[in-house]
Amino acid sequence: MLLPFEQLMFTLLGECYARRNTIFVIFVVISLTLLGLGSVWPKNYTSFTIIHADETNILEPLMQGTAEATRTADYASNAREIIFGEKIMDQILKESGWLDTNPTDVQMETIKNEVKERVAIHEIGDNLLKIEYRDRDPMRSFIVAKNMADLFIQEGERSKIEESEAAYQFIEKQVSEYLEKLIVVEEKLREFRSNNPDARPGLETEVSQRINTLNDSLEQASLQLKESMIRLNSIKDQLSGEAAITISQSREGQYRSKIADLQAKLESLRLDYKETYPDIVRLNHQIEDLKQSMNIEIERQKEARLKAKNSGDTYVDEAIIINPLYQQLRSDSSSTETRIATLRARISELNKMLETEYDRARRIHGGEAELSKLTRDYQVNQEIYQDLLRRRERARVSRSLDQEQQGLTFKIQEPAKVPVIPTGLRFLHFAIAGLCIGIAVPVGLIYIMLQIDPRVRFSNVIASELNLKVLAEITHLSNKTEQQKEKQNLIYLGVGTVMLLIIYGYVGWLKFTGRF
Amino acid sequence: MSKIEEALKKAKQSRGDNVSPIRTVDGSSGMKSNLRELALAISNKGVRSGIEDRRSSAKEIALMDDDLVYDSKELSELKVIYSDMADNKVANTYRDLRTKLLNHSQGRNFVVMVTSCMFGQVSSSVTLNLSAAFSFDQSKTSLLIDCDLNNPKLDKLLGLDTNIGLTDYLENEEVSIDSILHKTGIKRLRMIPAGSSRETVAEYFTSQRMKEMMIDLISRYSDRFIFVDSAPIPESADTRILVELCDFVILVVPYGRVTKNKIKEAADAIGSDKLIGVVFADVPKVPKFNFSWFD
Repeated sequence: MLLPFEQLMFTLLGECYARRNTIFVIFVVISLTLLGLGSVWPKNYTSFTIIHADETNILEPLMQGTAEATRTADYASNAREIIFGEKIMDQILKESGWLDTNPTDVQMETIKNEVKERVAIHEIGDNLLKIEYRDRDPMRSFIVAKNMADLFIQEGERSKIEESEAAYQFIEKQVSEYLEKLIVVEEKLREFRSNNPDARPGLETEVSQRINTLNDSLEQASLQLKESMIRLNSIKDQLSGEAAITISQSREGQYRSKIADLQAKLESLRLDYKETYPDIVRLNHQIEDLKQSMNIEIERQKEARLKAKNSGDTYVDEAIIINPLYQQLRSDSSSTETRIATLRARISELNKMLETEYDRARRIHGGEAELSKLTRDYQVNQEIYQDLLRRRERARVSRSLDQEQQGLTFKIQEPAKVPVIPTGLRFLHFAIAGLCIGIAVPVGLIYIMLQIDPRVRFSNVIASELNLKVLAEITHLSNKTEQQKEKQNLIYLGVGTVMLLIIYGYVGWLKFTGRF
Repeated sequence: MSKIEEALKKAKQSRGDNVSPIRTVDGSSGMKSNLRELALAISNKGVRSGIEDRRSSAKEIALMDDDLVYDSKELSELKVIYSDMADNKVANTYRDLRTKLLNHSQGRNFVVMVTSCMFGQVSSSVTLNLSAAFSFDQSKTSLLIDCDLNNPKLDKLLGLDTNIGLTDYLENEEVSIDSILHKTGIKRLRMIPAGSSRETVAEYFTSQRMKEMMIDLISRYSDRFIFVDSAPIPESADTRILVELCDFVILVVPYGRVTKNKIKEAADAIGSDKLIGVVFADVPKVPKFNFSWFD
């Protein structure tokens, strides 16, 4: 339930007044405890130094892309690592006089851990590093802080140079390694080339192209051969057929047609003249001669046929031999025969060539794989080698930068000073806190009790939450005796408070004058 | 013969039967209506001769012999309010409460029971002071009845030593009502202490004699206001019975000692028709630092 602040405060005041004795006891206990604690609490002196890590310098824009300035990303943790290292810590212990008492190793370790705990290193803003050291002795606090900063800077510079030197050396080593590799691969490649003169890239494609062409030619030649064979057969057929149809062109036939012509002429003359008419007589003679010649010719033919038959030759009538178509066919036939012979020769030649090419293809197949491997090795090695050469140059410049202390530089921005005023919790803080906490704790407890105690302390709770009418709110009635007691109690409390303040003042005075 | 006896006799005659109206109806609500009925009968009589009665009761009040009266110092020591208190904040609070109660009863006299949510003398102190506030008024008298028979506190609060009281009257027919009415040392304030015998408590309050006594007391003076101090209601069955004999009930809630549930429980036990409100008591006072203390 939300209560009006004023009402809550009034109730709190009332409760506190009712419990004033308890509050007083708690107040006295807490404030005296803190006063005692404050008077024995050790004083601490803190000395600090600020280091500026100068990252940007005039060379940077000039060298961009060529040299890498050594960067330190997290200065604070790096500084912690470096400072807490054995080397610097030993030196600090020596400088600050801890070693004067000749401590054992275990004691040394303990001292180191204590020192580490009292060191605070943090980055403040950009590139500013604050090294703080807290100690009971202001002088020692100053010495430690100063030494830490100085040694850290020295160490930083040294490690930076070492780092860039190491980087250069590493790249240098890599460069020589790759150079050797490159030379080996180059030698291998040369050797392979001399062993395999036709080993060159793309040879395989060329050979297969050639095989294809040869195959094409072979197919074409085979086709042409078949075609020519068919043609020859057909011409031969035609030649035998042609003999039968040209028989009429023989000499016998010429005689017969002449006789028929003369016979026709004789018939027409007989119509007009007598048998004795000269022309008729001459015609008769002529016919007779012709008949005789024809018979001789028939006889000769019979003889020739018989002769041919006996000798096994085809008889060709001479009239046929002089037939132009026959002549034509005969020439075609012979040219076709020649062509067939040519094609046959070509096919066998092509086959031979194809065989050669196949051989060659088989030979170059293994060689090319070897070649491409060697070439690839060579290319890769060459690329890396060139890249390394560039890097080596950059590393060389970086190393020079660091050696010349032109890269990241640490400067002491604010030197360590001898602290005059102690830091941290002091007597005054404890004294004030004692008084404040002494009051705040019991009052706070009562406030918490008011918040969590379920018992009703506010009349409006009854009215609002239980819907009961509150007729009156009656404050506690005290009689004279009680009032007397109360008055006496308040006087005691007042005296107690005054005494407490006197103790405070006395302890404070002792502390101020340095007697305590 | 007391006025109540007269009234009873008249009521009997007017109804024409010989049964007492109180006995006709059983149960608590009946009891309540009968009590009011009787009170009405008495007040009718009062209307008839109101002026005379008022005069006579004022005279009686003036004649109340308060030979032993506490002075303000003694009252202050007993933690009882008085009209000319130096720090009159508390007295004024009781005066306001008195006004509220009178408004509620519309000016008539009444029987009010004061009970608490838990054991303690806060409610007895409230009862005592409330009755004292009523007796400030010279035209009013108040009567305190200590009905917390197991833990009677009123006589101790008033610094009295009484030997005869309520239980003696209820037990013994011989004891007259006048003999248990004690002077308190405060003007116009009388008290009936719990009495000497404290056995079978519940039986006393359900008895006819108790009812009759209450009617007698309320009707003897029309300016008499009766305050019944009772045991905490959640713990006591007597108190629940007593509720029925009273006109209304005030519940005392002591500061910082009871939870809301406890208050609700008590309020439910009383019942909303009788409960007129809560008095939030014993609130710690916020100190006022006046340097007169160190004089």
